Amino acid sequence: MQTGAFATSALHNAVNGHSGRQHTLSMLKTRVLAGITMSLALAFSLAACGAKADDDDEGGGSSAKSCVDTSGATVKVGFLNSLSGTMSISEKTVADSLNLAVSEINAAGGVMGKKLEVVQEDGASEPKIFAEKATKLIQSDCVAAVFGGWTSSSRKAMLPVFESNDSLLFYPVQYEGLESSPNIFYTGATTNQQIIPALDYLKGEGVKSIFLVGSDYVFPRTANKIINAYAKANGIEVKGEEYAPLGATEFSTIVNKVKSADADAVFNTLNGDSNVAFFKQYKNVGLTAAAMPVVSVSIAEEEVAGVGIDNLKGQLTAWNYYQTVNNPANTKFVKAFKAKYGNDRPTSDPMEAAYTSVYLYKGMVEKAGSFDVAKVQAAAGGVTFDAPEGKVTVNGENHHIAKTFLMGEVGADGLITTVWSSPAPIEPDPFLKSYPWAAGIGG
Amino acid sequence: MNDFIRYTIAGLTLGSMYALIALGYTLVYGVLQLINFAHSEVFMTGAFGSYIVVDTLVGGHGRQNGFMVVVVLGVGLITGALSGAGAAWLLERVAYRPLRRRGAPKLAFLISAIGASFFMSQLAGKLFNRQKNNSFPNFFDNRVLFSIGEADVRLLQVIIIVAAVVLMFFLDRLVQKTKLGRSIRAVAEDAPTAALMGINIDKTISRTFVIGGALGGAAGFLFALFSSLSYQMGFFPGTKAFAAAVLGGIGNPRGAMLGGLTLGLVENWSVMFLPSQWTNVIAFAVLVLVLMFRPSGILGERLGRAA
Repeated sequence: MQTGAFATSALHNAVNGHSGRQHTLSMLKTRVLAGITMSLALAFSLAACGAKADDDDEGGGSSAKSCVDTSGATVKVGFLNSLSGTMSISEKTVADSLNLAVSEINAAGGVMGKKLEVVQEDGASEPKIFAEKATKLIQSDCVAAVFGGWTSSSRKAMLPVFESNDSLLFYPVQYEGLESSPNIFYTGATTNQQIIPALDYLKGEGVKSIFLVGSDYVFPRTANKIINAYAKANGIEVKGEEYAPLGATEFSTIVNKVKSADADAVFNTLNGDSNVAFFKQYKNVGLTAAAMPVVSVSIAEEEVAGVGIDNLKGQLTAWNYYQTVNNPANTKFVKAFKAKYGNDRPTSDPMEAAYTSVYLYKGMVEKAGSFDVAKVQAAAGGVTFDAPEGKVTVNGENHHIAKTFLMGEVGADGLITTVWSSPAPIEPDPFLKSYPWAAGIGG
Repeated sequence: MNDFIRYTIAGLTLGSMYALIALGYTLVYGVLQLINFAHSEVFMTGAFGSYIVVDTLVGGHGRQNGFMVVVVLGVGLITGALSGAGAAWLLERVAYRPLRRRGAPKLAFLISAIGASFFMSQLAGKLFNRQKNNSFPNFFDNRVLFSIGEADVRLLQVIIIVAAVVLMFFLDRLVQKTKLGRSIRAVAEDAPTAALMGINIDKTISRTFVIGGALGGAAGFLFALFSSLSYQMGFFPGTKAFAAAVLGGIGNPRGAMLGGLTLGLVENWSVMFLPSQWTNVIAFAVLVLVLMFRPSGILGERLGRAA
């Protein structure tokens, strides 16, 4: 994902691959920290292995063989979210909505009559720990499926684990696309469900020129490559493309360039703390949402308050879900979430995608009539769920889901309301094969 | 031309904040020949210290009237300076003085500095919430005060530049004219001899940290007002300010001011021709170039000989 919001704030950067801080001292700090964390984690996991070996002599070496036990009244599933470290604030919200989904499903009788039993693990905002904990969940806890991950680097670290153990991961965050694995279900948006429709919207609004501002790492670079290709094919002029280092808080040079370029709109792929600084300084030089709207792909409900409603009011966001979406499924979801976790907690796109992922898993298992990975994979295509964001359908080929795009505008109350939506759910196309102008990007 | 003026104003704004931070590096270097790498966290402490007070004062109350704006700015600057000074004082007591007492090698100070820097930034992360992004409440209207050609000069830019200039003026007077300034210069020149002359070295060093910390803390307030706050906010401005101090001549307060302004201007001017990713490259290339021809920086003198 693009490490979402600040969500992914700042540095989660520090610890997460693509969001790594790019400078030496910090890098040094990060490495030292990572080193310490890792050796601790290693020590703990070794200790855990030891204990395991004592308990169960046979348990060892069968890494490729599934040890999932579905004979009892419950089936284990794993949640793997960062409960500590820089990503924890964002990922805890995902863990919360995953838990909400499981408790709802269990209250309604479970999956094929079996209750789901959650094993929660902490990825500690560190991709290597995500990989280790994924291994542990699959091999020691014998979970039937794992839900979680946020940063693309955590997903990339877990991918080989799920493929080599032939297990399942449900990943709930929008991301930069160009990936598809039989062992991962991507319930967040890929680029053609977020960035491309956002550009369609701008084009429809008569935008003739745009300015691109992003953090300097994989998501914004990939996104901007797509945006440039789209702009070229659609007669939109890209008046500038500027990148700030991750964690940058000084944007006076960039906002001055934006001002000089005088484009019709700005496309913002900054992440983390940078958004606060950017919007504050955007306002400082006298730029407004009315004169030059900024479209952001990493600012959701939770981030609005942090950036400051005052600084964000009237600006645009591109997602597939907002708390304000008006349908019975969302009314129920928002109400249940607030009842469980507090009235002041907003619901956002990644949380909704996580909630939806558990229900989609339930749908797949029930369609397959089994928790077996191969059978679930075979049954996945066409599984639907009336999600809070609207109806979603699993694509059996690329394991992403068809989602409706929603252009949002930040209101004075800090909530985001839909100003435009795609006419129908958009089929996922992570490699952009169906867009002639994207030839060469999808690879 | 309008662009040039606009970037120049932005450069002066940024540069005056660099200069304030750079003074902290340079003063401490002057008396201890030590790069206080934790100074970037002193800056961050100043930002948070003032934020807590100002947010309590005017958070969620919208725009204030003119009188209150002045009061809040004053309170912000003072609380920022006090928090920075307090952090710097503590830092000297805990991280450096014990090493000095035991005659530790220079490298030990460096490690202690880096350790303290980590500690402070991680502690702030813990205390102030790693991911919650903070920015000061918008308690005044950042309106255009006047225009030069088509380039607007806004209230916030004037506030930052004026505050920085006033603070630097007082610092310069303090170093040049007061008894404390004289002892600081004496310690920088030759500590053992200064001690023989009856100057309390420990006290002088401690006060030097406090002065540098106060300036850094005030800069933290200004920077956060201008941009945002986070527990890692110190890194970029801190590194730049360190470079500015070296550029101007480390150990020399006037050099730090000049270096800060130069760096701010160079950064802003460079984006007229190049993408902003090149900003840091240009800034540090200028640093390297200057050092190639003037290895001791633009002004080049040590604190002790500055008078």
